[in-house]
Amino acid sequence: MTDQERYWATLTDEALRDEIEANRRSERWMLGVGLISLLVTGAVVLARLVLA
Amino acid sequence: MSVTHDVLVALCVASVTLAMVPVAAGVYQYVLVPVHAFRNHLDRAAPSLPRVVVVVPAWNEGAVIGASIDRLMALEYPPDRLRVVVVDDASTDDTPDVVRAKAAAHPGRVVHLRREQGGQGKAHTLNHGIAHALADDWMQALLIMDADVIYRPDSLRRMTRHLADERVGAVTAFIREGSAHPGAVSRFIGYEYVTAQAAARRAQNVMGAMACLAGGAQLHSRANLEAIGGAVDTSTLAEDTFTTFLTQLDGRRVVFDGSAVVLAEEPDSVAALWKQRVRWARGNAQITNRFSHVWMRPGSPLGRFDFGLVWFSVFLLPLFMTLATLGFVGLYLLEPDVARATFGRWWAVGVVAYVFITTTGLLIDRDTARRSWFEALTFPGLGALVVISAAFWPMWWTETVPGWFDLHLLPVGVTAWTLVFYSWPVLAMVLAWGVRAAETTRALRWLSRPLLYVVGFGPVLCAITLDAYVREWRGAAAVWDKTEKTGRVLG
Repeated sequence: MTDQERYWATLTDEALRDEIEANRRSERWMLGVGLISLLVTGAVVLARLVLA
Repeated sequence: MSVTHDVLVALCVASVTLAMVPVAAGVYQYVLVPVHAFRNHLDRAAPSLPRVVVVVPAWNEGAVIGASIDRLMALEYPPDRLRVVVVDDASTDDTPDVVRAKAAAHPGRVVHLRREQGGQGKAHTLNHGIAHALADDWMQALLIMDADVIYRPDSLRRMTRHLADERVGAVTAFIREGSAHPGAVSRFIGYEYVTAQAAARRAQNVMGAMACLAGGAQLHSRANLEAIGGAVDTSTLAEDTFTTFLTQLDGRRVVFDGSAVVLAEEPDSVAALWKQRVRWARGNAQITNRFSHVWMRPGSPLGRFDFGLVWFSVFLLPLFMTLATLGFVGLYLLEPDVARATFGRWWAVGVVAYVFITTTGLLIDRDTARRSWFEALTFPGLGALVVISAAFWPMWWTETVPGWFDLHLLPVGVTAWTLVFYSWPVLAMVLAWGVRAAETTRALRWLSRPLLYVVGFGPVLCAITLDAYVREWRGAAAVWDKTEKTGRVLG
């Protein structure tokens, strides 16, 4: 368990708000997921065009 | 060429084009996933720890219920705000003994409700527990879970925080496949759950319309439960979807929180999967019919065009696959050159969608990716990958590979091979029955796993869906077949 998780487990309002904020920031990873997927897909399309 | 010929060719092309609808719907959902980075409900969530009653329906769950209750008691949640009600549906194993022991160990926090007359199904069992929870004012929120689901310490509070927004009626968590030693089927399910929950439900969060609360992890506000009648629907096999729809039609939101993770042991045989998914698919057929007044009609989030598109893409997937096969075979008989070109373009679009969706799925949940990366890649089946290569390099399988063995295919052989490729969407569904048959035949059991990877998990699900619709159409008895669990879950 990390220090941050121990803090959230205290269940104070401040700790729970901190957890919400941390989860909200983590959700930004979905943007990275989209970009990487787009790049990989683009690379595959390019490869197909080159090989065709 | 006659007009009839041209019309037939046009119909075949239309058929093949229509079969692209599920691909388009799938890509659309996955394009919404990055939007969830900024459009999610966490900006409206707030610290909220209501008094929660957990209702656990249990029939012969002695192997798993003890561990589930222990996990609930270990939740990072105020102990005085959490009670567990296990509704024992006339179990004949040691479920009553296990639950009574837990009730004795946690007085006032674990309650054993015994139904002496059981067997009516999960919905009736749930309603027994819900009625108990609603009998007094203590309960502020109700969590419905399955007996084998393992909650992480932070799962519940990550769900309750969304109820701080009064517009939210219900919250669903991410059920991750968590078998300690997953076999092929469990690993496929693990990846499927990432696509169908972690990805799709994020997309549905963005759309503001949710298809289904997870049956094993759904939290309702008391207000929502009372508003939808104080009980779950017992007339369909999909009481969770029914509840989801009622909540939203009544003007309240249903939210998915991907960081609220619970673990469940899922079926690890095709036979067990078939039993489970026939029930789910029949339930979806019942829901589609019961809510026919909602689809594609303004007035509620469920009437959105994109939500309807997503729903029917999945619901009608066996039909779309059949349309593809009929279109390609028809084109081949009418205009072989057009068939070849169309086949190549169709699979090119399919491959682009497959790469995009698979990459996204693997990146969303890297833990599952580590366990199920091979199943993610072979989800459509190794057979489909062979078909894709035939679409891009037509001569490969009709000339190059036979040439390695000094063979030369006769025209009838070329035709046969071509028809196999063109009819693969339907052929794969037929072979899926073979996977189940092999698994249940002692002499052929060794064949079922490799065949599963050749046929693909996607086509197996399509075949199951078709089977379910036939049973529903024939009016087969709607029976709650329990999925057997061993209780060996990670964590």
